[in-house]
Parts: sequence; structure tokens; C-alpha cells
Amino acid sequence: MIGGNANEPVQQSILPGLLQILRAAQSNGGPIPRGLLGNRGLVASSLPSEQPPQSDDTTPPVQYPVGADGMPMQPASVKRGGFGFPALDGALTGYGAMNAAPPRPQSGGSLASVMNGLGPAPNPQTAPQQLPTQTPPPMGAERGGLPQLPGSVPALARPNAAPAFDYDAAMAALLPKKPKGKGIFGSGVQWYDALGLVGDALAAAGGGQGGYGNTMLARRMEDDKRRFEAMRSLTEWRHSDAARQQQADLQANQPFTLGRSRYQFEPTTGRVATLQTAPPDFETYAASQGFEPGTPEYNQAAQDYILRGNGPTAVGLDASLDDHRTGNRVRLEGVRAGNRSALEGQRQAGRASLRSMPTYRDLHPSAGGGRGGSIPTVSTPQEAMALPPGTKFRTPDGRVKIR
Amino acid sequence: MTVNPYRNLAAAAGGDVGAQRALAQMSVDALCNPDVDREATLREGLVFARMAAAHPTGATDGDAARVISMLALHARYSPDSEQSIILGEAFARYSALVARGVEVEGVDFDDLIAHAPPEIVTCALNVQDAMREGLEA
Repeated sequence: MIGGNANEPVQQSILPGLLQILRAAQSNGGPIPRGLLGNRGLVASSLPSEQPPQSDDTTPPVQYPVGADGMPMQPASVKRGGFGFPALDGALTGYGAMNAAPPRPQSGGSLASVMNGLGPAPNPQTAPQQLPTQTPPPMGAERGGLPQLPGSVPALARPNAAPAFDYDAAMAALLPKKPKGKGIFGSGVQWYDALGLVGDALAAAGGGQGGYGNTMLARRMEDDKRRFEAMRSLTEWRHSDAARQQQADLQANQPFTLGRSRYQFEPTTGRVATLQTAPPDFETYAASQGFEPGTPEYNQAAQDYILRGNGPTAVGLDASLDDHRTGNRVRLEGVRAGNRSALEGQRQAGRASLRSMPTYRDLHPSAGGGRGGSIPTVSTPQEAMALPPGTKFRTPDGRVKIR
Repeated sequence: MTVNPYRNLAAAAGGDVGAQRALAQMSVDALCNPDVDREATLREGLVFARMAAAHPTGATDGDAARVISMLALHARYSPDSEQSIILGEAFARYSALVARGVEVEGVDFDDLIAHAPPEIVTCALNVQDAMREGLEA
């Protein structure tokens, strides 16, 4: 009995929650087998192999793999320095060695190594013969990559989707971890919680200080602070992301011109809206002529704008101009031919009139003796013979001969 | 606040139960520091707490209760594979207190041990046997 009569229980009631759990288990689960510890202490009959306890905790018993030496293997304890003492290699490595019969090299000299064989005896039928298959490390870890947040999806798994930041995974990583397991009677209260509170109660009754409750209170305050910091960080990240997204949306929302149209991107829907589409220039030209769309004149005007000097109007004008020139050339040719004909007629008439007009010789015949004018005309050959030798004479047919 | 465990170390080694209690409590107090390795600190503090609880003349039931609280803390910060061993010792020490009539009102040790996982009970029995053997030696 701590600090009082041995028959009087400790007047400390600091476990109302634990009591409720125990009473609820008694009322729901039927009578709890009593007398397992008939001498109010631990006895061998408490072993589950003889009388398994009525517990809804379905956690299987711990079965450690068997090592090369045939002894069960347990995870090695971490050797770290404590509250001021340097790390003692091989010392105080603990409870893992309590379960192994031969002292393990790294546990020699510790209290735990002295207490070898205190753990549950391994069952050779159920103990695994090999080390359990180790889960391979996540990709990137063995290559020195950054650790991956739990729950985040790798970018390669969604090549077509923009990688989004997983706030839930980040929050889960930042928040303090909750204890695993169902706890006592599935209530979530762990066994170490129950024993810690019992130890605190007993220590307080003895005038001491257990420290479990105070430590847990400090831990809870630390967790609350950590939770607050995590929430604040997440809120800042969300606000920052929202601000950047808004800025990006505003920038992407600016209208832009493509071709003859004005477009605007809508980031919320991912669609592009057409604000305005300007008509083509040929339509503007045809409309400016006062033509109605679809009429032959409208179509011809559109073709004229596009084809320019080769359009139908230009070609028509060229053809008419050529016709005009051709007509002019034909008419000019007729004028020229008439002029030539008239000139030739005038020439013919001039020549005819010139032939009919007597010449000066005709009007003034030579008396003879003169050159050319004194040639006698003979009628017969005898008369020609009568002329002096060397004299020129003219025959009756007009030929001039010499005697 | 900086603590110097070496101030009490010589006295604790010489059998001063007060120094042993101080060192054990120092490890518990250090747990409030988030930069401290809780598991290692508790491992070292438990050595002195066990010494104080096993002191032949100065040990009290409060020292044994402190060991139970520290073992519970140690189980909380230890891997799941080691919790049954740690909690087994806590149950064994609790059982020793109950055997001496030291109990907490409203907490039935028999009910508690009846609902405990089998591996914890097995470890508790082994630790209890070892403690008895150590007292007899």
C-alpha cells in the first residue's frame, strides 16, 4: 500500500475514462473471466495458451523470424544519446535482447542483456523461417531523390494532367501522427496510456511523480502547436497558390488577335471564346459598292478585289479598250487605202493629161541641122541610099539609122 | 533550462536513491523538449529509475510506480515490435504492487490483465520470474 493502510485502496480517481471503458466492456462482453491471477499477481495460468483472454483485440501475437543461429530475431534497438550522456555503444539497447536467448553482440552489458530469455518463447511451428520480405523503398529514395509525400501521385502516372499539389498529403505529413491500433477494447486508448495513468496515480499516492500525464500534456500542447503551424502553413500555401492562379488567369484572360478575329481564353473552362470576327476585305469592298451579298454584281466585285488587274471587270475593260483600238485601226486603214487610191487615180489622170498635152518640140519642131531635130525621114530604101554616107535618117517606123 | 546530469551521477553510482530519482525525473522532464531523442532519453532514465526502485533501503512504492509510468512513456515512443516487452515489464511491476496491496481505486488489475494481449502477458510473466529470481539471489 502506498502511503497508508494496506487494506485501503489508493484514494485517487484519475482514470474515469479507463473505468468507463472497463465497465462498458464488462456490460457488453459479458462476464470477464476472473481468477486468472488468483493470487492477485501474475501466474502461469494467465498465459493465453491455457486460457485465452476474452478480448476483442484480434492483433496476432508477435512472431519474430528465426535467424541463422536458430534464435528469434528482433529489430535492433537504436543506439542514441539520451538527455546528456553520450551514446553508449552496445549499452542499454534494450528490450529487443530480452527476447533472445543468447546475448546479442550489440546488447552486451546492458540491463536488457542480463534479462535474456524474458520475452515470449518463440513457437517453432509458427515462427517464420526467413526474414520477411522487405518492402522496396520508393522510387527515388535509393537514388538519392527527394522523399515522396504519402498519397501524392507521381507526375508520370498522369502525363496529360497538370500535377497538382496534394494538400491533404502535405497536411497528413505535417500533422502529428496518431497512435495506431485499436487500443484497449477497440476504444483507441492504448495500453501504455492505461499503464502510464496507473503509474502516475500510484506515484502520486506515494508522494512521487510519475510523469506520464505531464509529459502527455506537454506533448499534446506541442502537437497543438504543430497542428496550428501546419494549418497556418497550409493556409499560406493555399493563399499563395490562389493568388498566383488568379494572376495567371488574369494574364491568360487577356484578349488576343489571331488572323482577322479577336479571341479570349477562359481559364475556368479552358475554352476560347471568339469576341469579334472582322469581315474579309473583299466583302468590305463589295459591300462598299452597294451590292447585296450573293448577287452577281457582289460576287464580281469580290472577284475584282481579289483578282485585281485580272478580275472580270478589269478584263472586260481591257477587252473593250482593245476593241476600240482595233476599230480605230480598221477605220484608219480604210482612210489610208482611200487616200492611196485617190492619189493613184490622180496620178493616172495626171499622166493621161500629160500625154495628151503637146510638148514644146511638138509646138516648135526643129528646121533640121540641129542635133536630133534634122534627121530626115525616108520612105523607101532608095531614098536612104541617096543620102550622104554617115547621115542619120529615120525609117518610116520611126527607127533611126545611119547611112 | 540546461540540466547537467553529471552532477548527480557520482551520487547515483554511490547508491544515493535521491540522486537516482533525480536522474530518472530529469529524463522525464527532458521529454518536453522537442529536440530530444525521447526513446534514448527514456532508456537512460529508466536505468536510474529501476535502480531507485530496487534500492535495498530507500526504495518506495512510488519509485516502482515511476518505473511503470516511464515504461508506459517508453512504449509510446518505441516501435510496435518492442511494446509488448516494455509493457510486459510494466505489468510485472504493477502486479508486484498489487500483490502488496497497492492499487488504484476503480481499476481492477485482474480485469486489466485479462484483457491484455497474450504477448504482453507472456512477457510480464517472464519479467516477473526474473525479478523474483533476482530478489532471491
